[in-house]
Amino acid sequence: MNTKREIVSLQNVIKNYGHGEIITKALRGINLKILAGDFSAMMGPSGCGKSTLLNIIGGLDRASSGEVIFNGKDFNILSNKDLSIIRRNNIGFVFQNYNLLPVLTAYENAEYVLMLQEIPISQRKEKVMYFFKEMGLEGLENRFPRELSGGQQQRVAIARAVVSEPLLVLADEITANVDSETAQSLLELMKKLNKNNKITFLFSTHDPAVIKFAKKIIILKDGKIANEQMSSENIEKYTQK
Amino acid sequence: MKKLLGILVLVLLSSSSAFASNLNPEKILNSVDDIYRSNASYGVLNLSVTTTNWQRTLTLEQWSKGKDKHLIRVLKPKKEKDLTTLRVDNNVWNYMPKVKRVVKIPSSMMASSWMGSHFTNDDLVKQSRMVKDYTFSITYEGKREGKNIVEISCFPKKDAAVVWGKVEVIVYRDDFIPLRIIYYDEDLQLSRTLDFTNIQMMGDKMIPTQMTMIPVDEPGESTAIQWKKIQFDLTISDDFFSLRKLQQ
Amino acid sequence: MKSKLLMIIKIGWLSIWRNKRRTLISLFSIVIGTGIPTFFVCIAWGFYAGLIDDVARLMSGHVTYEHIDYRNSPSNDLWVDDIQKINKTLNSNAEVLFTKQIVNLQGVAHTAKSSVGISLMGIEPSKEITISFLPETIVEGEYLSEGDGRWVIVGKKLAENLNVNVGKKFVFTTNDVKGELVEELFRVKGIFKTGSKEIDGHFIQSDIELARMVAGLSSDDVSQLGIIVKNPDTHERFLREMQKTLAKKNGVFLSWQQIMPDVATTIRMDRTAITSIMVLLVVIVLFTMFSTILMSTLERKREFASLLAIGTQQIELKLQIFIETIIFGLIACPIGSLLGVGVAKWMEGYDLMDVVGGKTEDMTVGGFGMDTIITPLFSAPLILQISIFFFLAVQLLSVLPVYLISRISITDELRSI
Repeated sequence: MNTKREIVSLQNVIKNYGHGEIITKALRGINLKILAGDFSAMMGPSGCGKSTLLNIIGGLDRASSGEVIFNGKDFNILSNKDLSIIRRNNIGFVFQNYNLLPVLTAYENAEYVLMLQEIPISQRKEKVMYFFKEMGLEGLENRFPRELSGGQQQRVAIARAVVSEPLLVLADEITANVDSETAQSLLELMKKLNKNNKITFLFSTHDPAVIKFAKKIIILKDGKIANEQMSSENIEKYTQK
Repeated sequence: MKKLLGILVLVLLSSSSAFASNLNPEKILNSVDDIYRSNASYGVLNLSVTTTNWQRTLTLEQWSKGKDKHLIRVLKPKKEKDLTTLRVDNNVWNYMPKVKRVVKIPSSMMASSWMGSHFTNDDLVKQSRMVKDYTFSITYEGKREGKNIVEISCFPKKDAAVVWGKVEVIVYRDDFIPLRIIYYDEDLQLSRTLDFTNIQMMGDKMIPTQMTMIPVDEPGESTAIQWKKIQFDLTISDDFFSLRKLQQ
Repeated sequence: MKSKLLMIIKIGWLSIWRNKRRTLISLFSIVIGTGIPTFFVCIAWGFYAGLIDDVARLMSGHVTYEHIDYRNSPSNDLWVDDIQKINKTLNSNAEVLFTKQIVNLQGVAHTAKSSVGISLMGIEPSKEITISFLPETIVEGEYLSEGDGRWVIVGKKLAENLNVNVGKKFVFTTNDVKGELVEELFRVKGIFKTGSKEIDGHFIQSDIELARMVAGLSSDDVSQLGIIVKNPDTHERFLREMQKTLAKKNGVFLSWQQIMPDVATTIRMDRTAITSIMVLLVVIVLFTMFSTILMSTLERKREFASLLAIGTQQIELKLQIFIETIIFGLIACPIGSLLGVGVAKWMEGYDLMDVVGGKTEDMTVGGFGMDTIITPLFSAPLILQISIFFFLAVQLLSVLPVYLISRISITDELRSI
């Protein structure tokens, strides 16, 4: 029985790049659902369209055709500004290069999104401190990104993405720039957030370590999903052995 | 010896006072002022201007009445023919035949040279009598350079509008015809001399027919006036000296 | 909302200092850009204010009452009458500092040596001492006093040209008000030296009674009535009021600009020159700033893209950029103003000619010698105006990064490297 809420629903999404004769077909008809509480990993070779799909789900890019429904809203009919507001309120992003604001401290970076959401200072502090504690960032609040290791920076980036408790966190190759031990701990962290805070994650990755943690695996090949039939339960069983 | 000297001084003093009693300097100065004047006169004269750079001669005819009215017209050279200057009282006008216009000489031009000569417009206008502006006395009487002369030294009165510091008027002892007038500046430095020469009978009057102005600070320069013809005691109406006449 | 704005300001402020060297160069260029014209303006306006005041006091005031035709041809027979009454009214006006009765006569001075065209100004000596700087410039003899009669003061150059000294005489030829030629003997009481060729060579002063006597004017007549006002900046309004209430039919109140158009024109031209310098500096400053702002935007494109990705609005980013240039302006423009004022203040009291190594005589405006001692004028509105001008010019530059931000493609910038 599947009663989980549907966060993302893609119907026959196609994405073409370029003009005229030379057209790169990045996505060739994607059908995909992401449900609340998912902890999914999207895999596939370079250029298979992982990033493109992630961008479309995150409202950073638009599909050439097909339906993109996020939390009941049709992305195709929303303005750029509306998309931006949805990103602000409902989607967290974690990037491969962390992309923290170098001029702000770890604490301030995490606080940034809450400020954009105009959340009062007391709540901001509470939330940031909560997640910093959860993520083992206590004591690093006043450090600037350049004073942190790669793993610490990525944890701050994750904190920034989850602090507003969005519906969905999109994580693009987040373990690519850290060693495997750090990657392991990052994934454990997110797993914990997924479990305790009911935050839905969608990863794009090459990293087999990620697959071990994923509840659901989406394999993308030549712009199409190659293993639609693979259920989360099967994968779970398979990877946890 | 002392006595001798005293007598000598006494003799000299008495002799000079004897001259003074014989000659009336006021009369002499007036006769010099009036030498070319009469009730009304007409004359033709050459005006020769010599500067270090050029020399030129104008032939002019002139009418005068009393001491306040003058009309001067250029006869030669052709280029300036009919250029006419009218002076009535303190005012001077020029008539330019080429543009057929009358121009009043403003006071600021009074010090400018009249027709490029060493006379100024002001010299033309000047009509005051020596006796009015100066205190004077005879300072020499006797022979000088073979001529029997009288020298009168004139010092400007305190507030007289006169630039000179001293003017020496030298005339012939016999007829008071002027020989030379010497002008000194306020520091009694020689400034200019006016020589009178060529005494002739002209217009029933013995007059020096040539007058030469020699400025001291411009060596080699001079202006000479040479009378060719002069008639005195004519009858000319006042209308003749009018702006209307000037334009004709 | 407030905390968001504060955060944007904070990020803007912090972002400026990410490249300290570049920022300092930019700040320096704005400081210099604002400072130089401020300095120039303080010095030059000080000179002009001094010059205008000196000239007004020496000549015929900030505002002059004279015959309606006198401006066209300042001839001796154009005078205004009923002066004692008008003078009394003016002197009871709170805006009037001094009035001076003047009889001007154009004429010629002659000595045995030469003749020079001159302008005689008859004034009230005891008043002139408090009004004009001329009495202070006497180098030989003494300045005039009441009842001096034929005694006049002449310029150094004129004295040389006429070959006269103190105590010596010259003849003054002029026309009286009836147009008649008059000649009067004057004696030199004092010789002044102002440094102006025109004044030292062609100007004499006498007791007004002498000038009236020569001209044939009564004690109720003057050529000009000069009015020195307390606040020269408002003299235009003052003169309009006086024209309405006080001028007689044949009289007119004129400003010093109308009386001395040469001085006014020169000052205007100089002001134009300073404005041109300012524009040139703005261009240089903008050019320096332009590269700074362009670079700092381009190198942060990726950062901006990530901020946009996590939900920052375009307008919020643009505001941040805008705040960055505002901060530049807010820091640099006041410092520039202070620097300009400070340097001008520091140079106060020095002789400009000592500083640049020229001769005092070279400095004349419209024939009037300038006081070359530096006395800057610190006009707050003017200094502020320059500062604001540069501030706004710098703000113009934020147009470029704002445009760039609106063109950022988030996906292109965030594509993994």
